Amino acid sequence: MEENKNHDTIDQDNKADEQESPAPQPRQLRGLYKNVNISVRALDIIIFTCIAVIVLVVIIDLL
Amino acid sequence: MNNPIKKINQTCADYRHMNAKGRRTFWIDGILNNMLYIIMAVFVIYTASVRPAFLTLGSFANLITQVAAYLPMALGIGGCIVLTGTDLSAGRVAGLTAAVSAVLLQEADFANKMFNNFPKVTGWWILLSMLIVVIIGAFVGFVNGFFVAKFSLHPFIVTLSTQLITYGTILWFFGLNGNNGQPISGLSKQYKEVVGGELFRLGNVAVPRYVLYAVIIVALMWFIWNKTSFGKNMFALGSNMDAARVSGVNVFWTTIMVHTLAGLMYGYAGFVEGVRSGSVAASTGLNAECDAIAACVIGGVSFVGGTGSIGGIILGVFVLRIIFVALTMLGVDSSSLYIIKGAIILCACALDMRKYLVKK
Repeated sequence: MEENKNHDTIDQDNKADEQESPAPQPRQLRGLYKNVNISVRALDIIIFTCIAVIVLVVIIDLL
Repeated sequence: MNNPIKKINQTCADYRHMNAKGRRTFWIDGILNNMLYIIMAVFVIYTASVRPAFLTLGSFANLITQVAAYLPMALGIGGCIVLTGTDLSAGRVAGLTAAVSAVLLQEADFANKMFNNFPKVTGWWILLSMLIVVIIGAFVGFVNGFFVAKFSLHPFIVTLSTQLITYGTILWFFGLNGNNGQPISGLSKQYKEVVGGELFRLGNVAVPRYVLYAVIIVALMWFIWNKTSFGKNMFALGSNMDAARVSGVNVFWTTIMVHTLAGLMYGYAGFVEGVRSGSVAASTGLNAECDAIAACVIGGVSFVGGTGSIGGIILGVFVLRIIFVALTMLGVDSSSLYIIKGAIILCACALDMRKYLVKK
C-alpha cells in the first residue's frame, strides 16, 4: 500500500515536471549556417525540390 | 561505439522499443539523410540496365581515374570546410598551376613553344617543375589563410577575391611572349609518362600513375588530419574557435596552415590536370571547386564546422563521380550536368543542415 502511494506521488511529480518544463528548443545552427533560420520542414521541401529538379532534367534530356 | 556490428544491433534494439510514430520518423530520417546515396544507387541500377558497359572493368578504371584526379582538390577544400570556411579559388589555382606546368614542361622541339630558354625535360626538371607549381598553389593558399586569420574576413570574400586575381593572372600568363591566349600544348613525353603513364590495366583501360600518387596523398592527408597536433587543432578550431584559443591552439597559424595545405593540393591537382587535359587553356579548372565542395558535403564534411573525415571525402568524390559517369553514359548533355551539379550542392547543404537540426 505504502509502495503504491509512493509510485502515485512520483507519477504526479513527473506529470508536474512535464507540464512545467518548457518545449524543447530546436538546435541552433553554427559555423557557416550561423545566421540561417530554417525549419526541418522547409529543409525537407528543399531536398525534395532538388531531387525533383535532378530527375526532371535527366528525363527531359533523355527524351 | 566504433564497432559497426554493435552499432547495428543497438539500432535494432532501439527500433524494437519505438512506437509507430517513432518508427515512421526513423524511416523518414534514414531515407532523407542518405538521399544522395539512394540517388546514386538509382542511377547506377538504371544505367547498368540500359548500358551494360557501365558495369565493366573498363568503366571502373575510368571511374577511379576520375576520382584520383578530383580527390586532391577535395582533400584541400575539406580542411577549409572543417574550419567553417570554404575556398572558391581552388579551380583557378589549379588552372594557373596547370598552365605553369605545361609551359615548364613543353617539348623542346615544339614549334609553338612559349619560352625557348627552359632546359630539356628530364626527371629532375619534372620534379622541380612540380615543386614550383606546388609552391605557387601554397602561396595563394597562404594569402587566403593570412587574410582570413589576420583580419577575420569571411573565407568566401577572401577566396572570391583571390579567384578573380588568379584568373586575371592566368589570362595575363596566356598572353605572354606573343601567345595571344592560345592553349598551351606540346607537352613533353616524359611529363605525360610520369603523370599519366600506365600503372596497370583494368579490362582494356589503362590506369594512370596519378592513381598511385592519389593513394599516397590520401595516406599523407589521413596522417596529418588524424595523427598530428595540427590536425587535432584544426578540428578543435572548427568546432569552437574561442574554446580552441583558450585551450592554447594557435588560431592564426592553424588557419594559415590549413589554407596553405589546401593551396598545395590545388597546385598538385593542376600539375596532374595539365597531362589530363593534354592542352591547357585559360578555362582549365573552371568551377572545379564546386565539384570539390559538393563531394566534401556529400562525404559528411559539415559547414557547421569541426566535422569530417578523409574516408568521407573519398566516399563523397566517388558518389559524385559515379553519378556523373552514369549520366554521361546515359547521354545526358554536359550543359544539363551543371543544373544537376547545382541541385546536388543545394540538396547536400540542406541535408547537412537537416542532420544537424534533427540530431538529438
